[in-house]
Amino acid sequence: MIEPACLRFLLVALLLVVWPHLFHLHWSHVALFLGFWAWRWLGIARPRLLPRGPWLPLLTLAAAVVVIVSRRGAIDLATSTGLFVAGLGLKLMELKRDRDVHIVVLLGWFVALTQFLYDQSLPMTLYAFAAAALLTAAAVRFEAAVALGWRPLARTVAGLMAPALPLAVLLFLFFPRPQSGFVRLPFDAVARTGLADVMEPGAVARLATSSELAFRVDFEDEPPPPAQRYWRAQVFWRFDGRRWLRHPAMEQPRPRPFPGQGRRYRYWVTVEPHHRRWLFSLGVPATVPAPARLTRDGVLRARAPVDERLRYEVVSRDSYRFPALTPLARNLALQLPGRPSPEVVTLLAELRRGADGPEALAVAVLSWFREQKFRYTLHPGTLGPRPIDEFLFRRRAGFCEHYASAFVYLMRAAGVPARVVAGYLGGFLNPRGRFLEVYQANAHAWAEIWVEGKGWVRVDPTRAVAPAYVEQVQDLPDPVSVAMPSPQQVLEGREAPASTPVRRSLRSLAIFWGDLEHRWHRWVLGYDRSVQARLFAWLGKRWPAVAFGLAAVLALVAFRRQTGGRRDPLQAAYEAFLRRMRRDGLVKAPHETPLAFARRAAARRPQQAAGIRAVTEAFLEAHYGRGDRRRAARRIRATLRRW
Amino acid sequence: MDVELRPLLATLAEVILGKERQIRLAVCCLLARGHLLIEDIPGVGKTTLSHALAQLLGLSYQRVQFTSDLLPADILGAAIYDERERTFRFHPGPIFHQVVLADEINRASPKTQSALLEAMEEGQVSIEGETHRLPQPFFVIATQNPFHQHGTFPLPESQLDRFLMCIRLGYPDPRAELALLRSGGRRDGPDLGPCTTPERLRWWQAAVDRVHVSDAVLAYLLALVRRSREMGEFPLGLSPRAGLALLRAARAWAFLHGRDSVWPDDVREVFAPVAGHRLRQAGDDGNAALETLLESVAVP
Amino acid sequence: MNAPLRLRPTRRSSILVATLALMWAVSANYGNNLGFLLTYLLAGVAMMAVYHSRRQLCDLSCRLLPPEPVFAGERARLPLVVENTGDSPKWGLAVAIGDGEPVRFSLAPGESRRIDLPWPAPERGVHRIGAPRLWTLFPSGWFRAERAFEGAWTLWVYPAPADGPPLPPGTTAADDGEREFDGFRTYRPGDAPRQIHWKGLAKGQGLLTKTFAPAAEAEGVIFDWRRLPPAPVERRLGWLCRWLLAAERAGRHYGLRLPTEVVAPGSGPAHLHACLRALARMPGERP
Repeated sequence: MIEPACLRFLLVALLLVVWPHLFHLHWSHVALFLGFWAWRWLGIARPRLLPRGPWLPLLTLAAAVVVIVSRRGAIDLATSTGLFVAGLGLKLMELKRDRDVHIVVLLGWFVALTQFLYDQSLPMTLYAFAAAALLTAAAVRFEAAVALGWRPLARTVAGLMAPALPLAVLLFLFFPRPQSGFVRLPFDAVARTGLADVMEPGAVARLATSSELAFRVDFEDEPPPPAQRYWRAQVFWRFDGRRWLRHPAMEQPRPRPFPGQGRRYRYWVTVEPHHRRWLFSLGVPATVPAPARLTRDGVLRARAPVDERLRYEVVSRDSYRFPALTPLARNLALQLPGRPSPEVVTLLAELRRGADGPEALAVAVLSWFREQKFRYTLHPGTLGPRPIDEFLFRRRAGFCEHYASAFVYLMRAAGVPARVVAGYLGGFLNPRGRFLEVYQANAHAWAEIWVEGKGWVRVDPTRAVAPAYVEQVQDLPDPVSVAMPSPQQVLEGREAPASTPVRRSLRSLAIFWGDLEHRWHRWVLGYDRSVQARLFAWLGKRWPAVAFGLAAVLALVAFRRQTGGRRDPLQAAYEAFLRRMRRDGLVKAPHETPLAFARRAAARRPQQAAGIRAVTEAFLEAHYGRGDRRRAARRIRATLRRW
Repeated sequence: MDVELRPLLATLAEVILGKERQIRLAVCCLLARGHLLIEDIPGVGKTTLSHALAQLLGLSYQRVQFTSDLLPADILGAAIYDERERTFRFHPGPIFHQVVLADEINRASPKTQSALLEAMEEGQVSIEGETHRLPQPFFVIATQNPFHQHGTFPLPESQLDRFLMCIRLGYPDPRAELALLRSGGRRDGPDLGPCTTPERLRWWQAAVDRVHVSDAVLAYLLALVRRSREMGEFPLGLSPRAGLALLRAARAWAFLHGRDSVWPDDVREVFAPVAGHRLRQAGDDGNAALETLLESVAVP
Repeated sequence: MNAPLRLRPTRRSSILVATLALMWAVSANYGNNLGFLLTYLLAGVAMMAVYHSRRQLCDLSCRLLPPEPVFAGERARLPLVVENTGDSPKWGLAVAIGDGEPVRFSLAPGESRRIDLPWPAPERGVHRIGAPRLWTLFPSGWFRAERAFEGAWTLWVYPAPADGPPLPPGTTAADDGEREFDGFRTYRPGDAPRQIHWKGLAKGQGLLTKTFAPAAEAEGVIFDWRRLPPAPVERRLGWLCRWLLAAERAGRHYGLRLPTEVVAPGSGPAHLHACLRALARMPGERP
């Protein structure tokens, strides 16, 4: 029979352990657990309510069916975790013997672990560890024969967990790590914010209101100037009049990167998991990181979907020498969904007048955008069946993808090879960690045109329409979580909200938190086989220092044990004497007085009688009499040294 | 040890052969201002011990044989009408001596017993509304026969508590007994002159109060007392008064051994005489139980 | 109390090992560093549990107290005192004899506790019962620290009183007149009027009561084994036991004569126990 108070404690601990799964698992799985949990809770007071006999297997079957059906039979991580959580709930139904409690506590640890498969953020980690501590407390409370008060319980759990933590860290650092991924259950396709596979009007605008982080970048040296911070991820070739699509031929891997020149930027990108294959580089990459391939159109593709946070190193250059355009690429870069409308043809004829070459034409198009009072807005409204014409000649309001799309269309119609590029623009430079935080709100689309002799040249049509906004996004003044740049506000020249103390502290808090999180990702979550190998190599080179340090720590611990820490010096000295006597086979019984022990010891060891008497007298006079304790302790130690 | 204590103990040891420990306990009891109960059969030297103690200390001495018809007035004294003066005059009883040997106290009726014990406790006697102070120092040695004979009134626990210590003299060992026989029992002659003065005794008693008791020893003492209550082997544990008695006796014992601070050994030495009669229990294995008690408490 | 301390994993620790293995495998599979950390934290807690289990049994002293004698068939209670001489509390201690029902308890620093272990005593005799085992599963339940003590209890199990022949009559108590005059004591209400010393009252000595010694019952009654009706040994011992108890309750003088030993007449609890011990010691029937 399990004591009700213990049981309630255990149930609360388990509830807290399972709680985070509410955010990742199918609702029915958590509901199953909560149902069993509540059932069990009621069963504490009214045990007759609990299921018995044939009900348990039936319940098990029903729970399994619910989990599998709710996942539509998919064998993936969510299903198996759901089965586990539901199983934990079921196990609560038959919580009778000590052994069941142990099984439940250990299952609880495992469930705490599974939640790391979904969320590895710092707060969630602290939460999970606290939940584990609570589980331990529940187990400890259960093992004590009496109802343990809060204070001794906390002390015992601290005595278990506090020394266990450094042990865990040591194991974490040094325990051999296998190559990960024997059996990977696929992640279920969680809908996450991020770049879509195709670009259609409004796709990027949707992201503009998201404050979620996309990735962080650490630079080896100074970060590039704001105007250079274009993070390429996707290149779109085909246009069906409305949507922009990628082209498989252009996604073929390119064996060698493009030869670059000019200034060199070396940086590390830490991508938040987005379950796609996009990777990001500053412009076109000059190197290809291990987990990625380079496509022919010059973007990085991960070899596997980015299901976990990924960190890779890239080098980018100022400019590149692109090989001549292949016929296929040229065809693709000039592809149009149909004949341009007469309005477009007239416009282009007008613009081409006086414009010599593709770059001059691009400048002419951009100035036309500016002169015609095109507006930049997040809410342009839906476009009709001929979106380009409607946008160019009637609506004249849109977001970056509208401008990129219209610009590339015009260039292609004028015979200039062009393509749409999507990715992120700018970011917030965290002043604490000197790294760039790039948010989903930084999502952006722009254009690249082919200039003979120069190769692909980046043109950002949005810059012509809303220069102030682009400049702000390139170098965000605040983390997005504090203040989101709204195009309307920026363009209408409205001032940002006044800098109040609350805002200022919010801002520094966000900066601090961003930095902490980044470090967490880099140093804790980023620890892997290769870092471990480097750690071993580093220690191997410094092994004398390491050995010395270890020896020093051990000696310190031993010394503190010997002297008994902060204990009374006299007692400690006398205990040292008792240890010495014990080595000679003379043990003082607890009820024996020091004098009686001394007599016995002196009788057994006559040659040491003088020493025994001296030590005992010193102890007696100081411990029971009015003698000075410290001096007596010194005398005892001195006698022991001369033994 | 005080210079004048040594000859006192040495002389006593010559008078009562082979009983050094009991002699020391008796003197310790005297120094601690307590009274002594000797539980033993007649003829082992109780009278000799008390008489010698009185003589050596230069104290007045009186022996009272307790019988069943002894009345309180026979001990305390009575106010008797003086024909000539036409007033009542107080005639002090035998209790108005500095050392009183109350022989076979359990033969007297409870009323007489309690009269004596009240006088012992208060140090004064009240008769007919008049209070008469007992002499100082005042030391009662009571004896009682341990075997429950018919017509005796064993002292109840509450009265036993008035005695600081209870000891047994026991038979002398063979060598001492041989020496006793050889001397023909002429050792306790009246030739024992005082070897110290009552003032000196009073000074000693004051010195005993100044003996230092450390917290460790107090903790030890407290542990002993508490353990006696929780052990379950004794019907009644030691009372707080018993704890105080133990402390007093331990101080006197330490003083008797020439120390100015109490060691746990002192507590242990006086523990059986001080606690034994207070923890009295059925059967004759009281000493074993006391030993168990002592062995169950760690010395701090 | 320097009995060796044994520490071994409990059967439940296999669940721990399995959980650790599973947690490690999942962490390794997904390359999940926090999973590793949590796994190693559990492993660290297990390691610390070993240390804490050990420490639970340090600074404990245990003494066996003499048990009360019992009659055969009763449950004996074997007393012992466990003391925590350390300065940390000891939780979840359990003590048991052999595979008997454990008694669970906890000790605060410096606390000592008397524990009476139940022990069924089916047979009469002098039993030597080896010292109990003291163990704890605290704090984790994965490890069991155990300590066996030295020493043993000596338990007297008296024969159970059995119904049978009635108590043989001894010398009956004599009348007051035949009793020996012992002395006087002051009158207490309730004293019989014929015991009052009237002559003394007449002389003005106040109310005194005459007291008398009980009549000499030096011989008392002797319960003699040889005079018992024939019956199995245990049966006869049961009768004797009942007689002894009855005689003691009646306040009589009684003695015992067994084939093996003779107990001289007497009375009082000590005497009763001496007689009962003699019964317990008596050799049984040869099988």
